[in-house]
Amino acid sequence: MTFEYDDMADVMHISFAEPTSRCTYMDGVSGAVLRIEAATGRIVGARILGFQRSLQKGPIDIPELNDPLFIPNWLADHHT
Amino acid sequence: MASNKNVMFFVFDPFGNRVVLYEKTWLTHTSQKHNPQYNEELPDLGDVRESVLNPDHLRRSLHPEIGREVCVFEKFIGTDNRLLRTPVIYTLDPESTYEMGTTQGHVTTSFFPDPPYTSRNVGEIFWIKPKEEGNENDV
Repeated sequence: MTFEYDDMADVMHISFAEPTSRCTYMDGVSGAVLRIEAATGRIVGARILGFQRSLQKGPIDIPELNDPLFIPNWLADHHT
Repeated sequence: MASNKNVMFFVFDPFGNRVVLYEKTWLTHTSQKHNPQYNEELPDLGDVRESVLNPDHLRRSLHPEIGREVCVFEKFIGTDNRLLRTPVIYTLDPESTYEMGTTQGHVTTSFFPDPPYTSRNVGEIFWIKPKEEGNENDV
């Protein structure tokens, strides 16, 4: 996992894993922009907008990461 | 190492606010580019600039922390009309809004969302590019 913080824009770029195929992007519930491997629905990265501002309010949650239905639902939406 | 002072561009948005893309933001962005073998489509600098300077429409941000200060610029790019989304954050005091055109902002990120139209963090369209006069092909 790698982190890269852009202090000019207050955006944290997180890479959870190296993708093995083409990726796409979607806006997540928490305000993060999620990077998703198109073929598998796996979340491989996130850009957290307003990172410091959000952190001042408490821990930042990306609910999609803990949602067991996220990948099957995403795949169903994108591969039907 | 990118200097905080360096900018890639500045433009004026449709309200007259000055909007900047900092070099560090751009470099952080481009460093996130991954192996081109995956054919991942990423916006180029000109696309990002055009999305702020000449957007097709604007949406409210519903971001839980910074939504009031963020305007989401959207523009259709290329021959396949892919929707490019560029959230811009403005410097606002409690009484002002970015629609007043009296402030400045900077690009936070830019990406082609998929699916393009649905998001729980991006709200309704509140501004649409005016039709160009004399273009009878506009619908």
